[in-house]
Amino acid sequence: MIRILSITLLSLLLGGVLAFGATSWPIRPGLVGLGLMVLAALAVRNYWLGLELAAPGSPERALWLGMSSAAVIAGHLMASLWRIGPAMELHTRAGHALGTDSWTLVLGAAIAYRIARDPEPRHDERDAAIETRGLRAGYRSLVGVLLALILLLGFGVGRVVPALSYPLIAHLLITAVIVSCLVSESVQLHAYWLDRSLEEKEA
Amino acid sequence: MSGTPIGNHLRRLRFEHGEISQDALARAVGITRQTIVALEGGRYAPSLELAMRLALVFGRRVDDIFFWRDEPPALTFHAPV
Repeated sequence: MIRILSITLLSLLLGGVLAFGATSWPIRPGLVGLGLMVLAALAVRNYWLGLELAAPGSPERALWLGMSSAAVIAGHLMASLWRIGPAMELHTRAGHALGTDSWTLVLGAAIAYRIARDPEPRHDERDAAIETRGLRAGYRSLVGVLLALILLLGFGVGRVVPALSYPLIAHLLITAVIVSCLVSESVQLHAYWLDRSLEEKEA
Repeated sequence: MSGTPIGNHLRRLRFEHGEISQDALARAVGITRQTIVALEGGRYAPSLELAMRLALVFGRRVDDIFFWRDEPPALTFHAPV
């Protein structure tokens, strides 16, 4: 459980650090993130290879990769939105930097998945049951965030909404979708962790 | 994935069938090794299809492999009058 939380928080933090490096680093932060994702995927692949039969199954591996990548992207997006501010515009230097870095991180996530995924993927009905549980949690969190946004947009007309640009609102919605994915993946990883801890207790 | 009311003899059957490994059994019925571990630990109750596949692999009937851990629930059928 601590591992799930710490990897999520570290990935969010990494995304945040990358967002704040956008103006000062000599190399594009998106490329730094991509490089770190690839290195982490190589290290994780070797770690899982070493575990042999004790290694997590294909769906759990995909969840670890998806959750950590989504957290980096979410951290980067949220910190960038915070840095740019409510009057965000797309066709500006900051807007282009956000777009370039975000898509570079998405590319990094795809490469990392390709490197560290199970070479012989297998999943079954138990994984499907765990996935259903995660999807349900993700759906509920998405509805919760959307309700908060609806209230903000509906009742903040006088004060908050005029300060928000349309691109910012669109990016808030993207963030809501990524956060719901994070919740879904975390709940599924928690289910696998719970199952494994019960197994260890019995052993 | 807490305990289920359905138990099974999978571990014993594996050993009776030449100590077949969990991974080999999982491959034979098209599931993951982790699910065999969960089944043997009584933390997962299989679908009817999976139960029948396991029975087929061991050449047994489903109720030779799976059983109620405690007294089964008292279920009654009320025929329409």
